[in-house]
Amino acid sequence: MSEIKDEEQKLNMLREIGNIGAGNASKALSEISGQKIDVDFPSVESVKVEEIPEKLGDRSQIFTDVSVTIHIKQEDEETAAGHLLLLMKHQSAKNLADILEDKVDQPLESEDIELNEEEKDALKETGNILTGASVSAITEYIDLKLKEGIPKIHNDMLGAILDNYLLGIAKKDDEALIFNTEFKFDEAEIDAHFLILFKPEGEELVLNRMQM
Amino acid sequence: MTEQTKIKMGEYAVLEGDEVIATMGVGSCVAVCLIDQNHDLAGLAHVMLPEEEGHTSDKHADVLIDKLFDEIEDKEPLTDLEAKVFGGAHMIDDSQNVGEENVESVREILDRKNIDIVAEDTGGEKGRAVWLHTRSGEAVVRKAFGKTRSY
Repeated sequence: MSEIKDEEQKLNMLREIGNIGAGNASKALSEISGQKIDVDFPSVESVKVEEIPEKLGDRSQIFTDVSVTIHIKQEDEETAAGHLLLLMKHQSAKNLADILEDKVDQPLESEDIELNEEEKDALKETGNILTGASVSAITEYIDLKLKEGIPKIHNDMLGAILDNYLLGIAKKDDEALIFNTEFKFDEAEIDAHFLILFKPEGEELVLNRMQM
Repeated sequence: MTEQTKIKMGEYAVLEGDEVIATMGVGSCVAVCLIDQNHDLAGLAHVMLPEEEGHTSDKHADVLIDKLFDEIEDKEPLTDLEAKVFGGAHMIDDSQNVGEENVESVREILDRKNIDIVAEDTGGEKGRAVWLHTRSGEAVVRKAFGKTRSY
């Protein structure tokens, strides 16, 4: 990491990776849902781990996320490099599940009802496809062997969801590098965050690779 | 309704009188309530990580609980405290269970301080929101999509 003296240059490199990942993920999501999607406000920043939940919303509000853990493969070694997440408020997740299951004319259900198994499966499958598209594009760009884990879905309070990712980072570092962009559907009430949370060891491997 | 004092992860608060301290979206983290029933005094800490040798930041259970304990002791020395502990969920299918490690660490620290845990709702797969009423010592806990319960 010491070779990279300019913080801004480092963030620009990671922003480029984020943009490539988000662009391919939104394209995949648009194809699956048959909807036009705008990609807004991409940002990459280093944030104190404790402050990340409040940056994304109200800790107590119910959200859904579909995520995969990304591993970097180098010879015999595999390093967990970070997490890729599609994170949305509960109602957005319900609305997206309705589109995926072709149930767009159904009345809105209460926010208090958890996603059912069918909805979870539809969202997980979608998450799988869009994270796959994203990871392939990033792999090609940085020429590092990336492997994605099994997609996971959570339907819970925002703070509780983020604990899953942030505590592992907090053990090693005070800050986390986060790439965040918003996916807004043109014709449906769906807003989602596409996030990449870089683990310190993953960030280092990626940046070293990009300097070669 | 009494105004709530909300704390984030890695933070704590101690209040006297008729107040409510709240912390939201507790997943693998642990909410530790210390209550002095005799003096309408209580505090709540949102613990992120277990105790770990050589680590002195507020993220770790021992450091944050020490701070919470010391602030209560400053107000009421040699007081009798009881604890209520919530959180430590294990939501991700991962080999490392930070939630369980956090709960174990909190139990050990409270045991060292001779503070009894009088109520506990830990583990499981769901996040929790916790409201601690400082006068009654009542802790109200709500799980995502679940019922609200008092402890």
